[in-house]
Amino acid sequence: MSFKARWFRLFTLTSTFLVWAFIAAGVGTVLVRGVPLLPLAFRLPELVFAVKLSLLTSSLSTLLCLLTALPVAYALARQSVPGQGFIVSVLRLPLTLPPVVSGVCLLLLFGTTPLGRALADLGLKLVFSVPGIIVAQYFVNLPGLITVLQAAIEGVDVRMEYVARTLGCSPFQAFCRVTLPLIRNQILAGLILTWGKTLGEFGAVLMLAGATRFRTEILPIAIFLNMSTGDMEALMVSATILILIAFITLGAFERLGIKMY
Amino acid sequence: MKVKLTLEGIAKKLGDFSLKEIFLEVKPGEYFVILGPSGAGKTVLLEILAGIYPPDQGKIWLGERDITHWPPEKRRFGFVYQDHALFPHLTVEGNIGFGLRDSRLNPLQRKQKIRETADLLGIAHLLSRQPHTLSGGESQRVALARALITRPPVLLLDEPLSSLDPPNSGDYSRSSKGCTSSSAASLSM
Repeated sequence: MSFKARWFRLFTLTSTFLVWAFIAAGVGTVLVRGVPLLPLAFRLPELVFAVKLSLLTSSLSTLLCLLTALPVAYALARQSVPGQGFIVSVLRLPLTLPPVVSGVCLLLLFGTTPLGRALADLGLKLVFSVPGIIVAQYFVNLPGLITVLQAAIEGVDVRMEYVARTLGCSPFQAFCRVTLPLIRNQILAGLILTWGKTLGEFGAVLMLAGATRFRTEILPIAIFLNMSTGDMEALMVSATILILIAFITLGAFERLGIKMY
Repeated sequence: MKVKLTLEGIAKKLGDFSLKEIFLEVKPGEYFVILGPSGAGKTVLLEILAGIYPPDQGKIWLGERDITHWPPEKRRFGFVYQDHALFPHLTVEGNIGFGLRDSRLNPLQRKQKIRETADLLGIAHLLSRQPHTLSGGESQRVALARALITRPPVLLLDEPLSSLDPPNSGDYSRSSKGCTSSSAASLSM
């Protein structure tokens, strides 16, 4: 190996190690303090509540994301409509918006407009409520799932759907019987990624659903509240649980043989 | 079903590409070949015939019926693409039997029909294989079997000999003609 090749190899490997060490140090600092306190999670009613609410809301919002993202991704991948560029830009906006700004948008939409009042009259109060958590998580994470699924659908040769149609399938049947099985892994990857991100959603949730103990207290909100009141033990346990869930998510990716890049 | 296929002034514009006023008539049982350079629009014409794209103008007749606005699933023309477009998540058997899923055949009859069609094309030994393990010629025969099994009124073949060497291409030509004798018409590009 030439000197230049060795130098380049050394440079890339050193960069990798330094980045790894930076991330490991950050995460490790919490884990070292948080893991021994984990049994506490089962004894603190507040944390039990936060874990249960986090799992419930993130699962529901992920399911909602999937149900909406699939048809939208299909339309973007397979159909062209006038002004598609503008439509796509608006659809992807929450991807680049700071989550706090997304939360402000939702708070104003559901708190100050006739739409919010109409929904509240129908019994669906979204401001400072549990449904608000789900809507905030959904709003912020939907565009990511749409993007993943759109890329997956575009990767399937559309002519296979055409052939399926000549063999008697309607467009929906062709999608279900040909495209859907072929993008199964990408759907799973998108779901896991979305679930992990909804679980950690903070800014938008804080703005729309607020931070009320034993009411809208999901894990990131619990971290925020415990930090505010100086309850470091509960803070460490909440953060550790979220880190462990992130590890499990990555493990699931590995098991499914899915690449995140 | 012995009917002729008629195109009356079919035209289509797709981006910069356009097909202009195509008239042709394919008689029942006829093996009709259209030749043209790459990019001439042969595949697009086949896709218009299959119902995948609607024509901008003109009419398509199947016998006395105007099928211009019929969707592909109602026309049910057999279609074999140049690169065969086999379903990679299904075995050869699953690919060939795909068009029979909603038929009234019971599983045994369905299996028997798949076997008969595969025998006809000399691919019965491939039924349990995955599409990615097939050679070009084998996958072409599988695609042909998949198109033929529903006994389509018209068989559309896009560059059917492109992935075959000369001895195999003659063989394929004969078998596709033989298999389509019961169909109304075959169009080969």
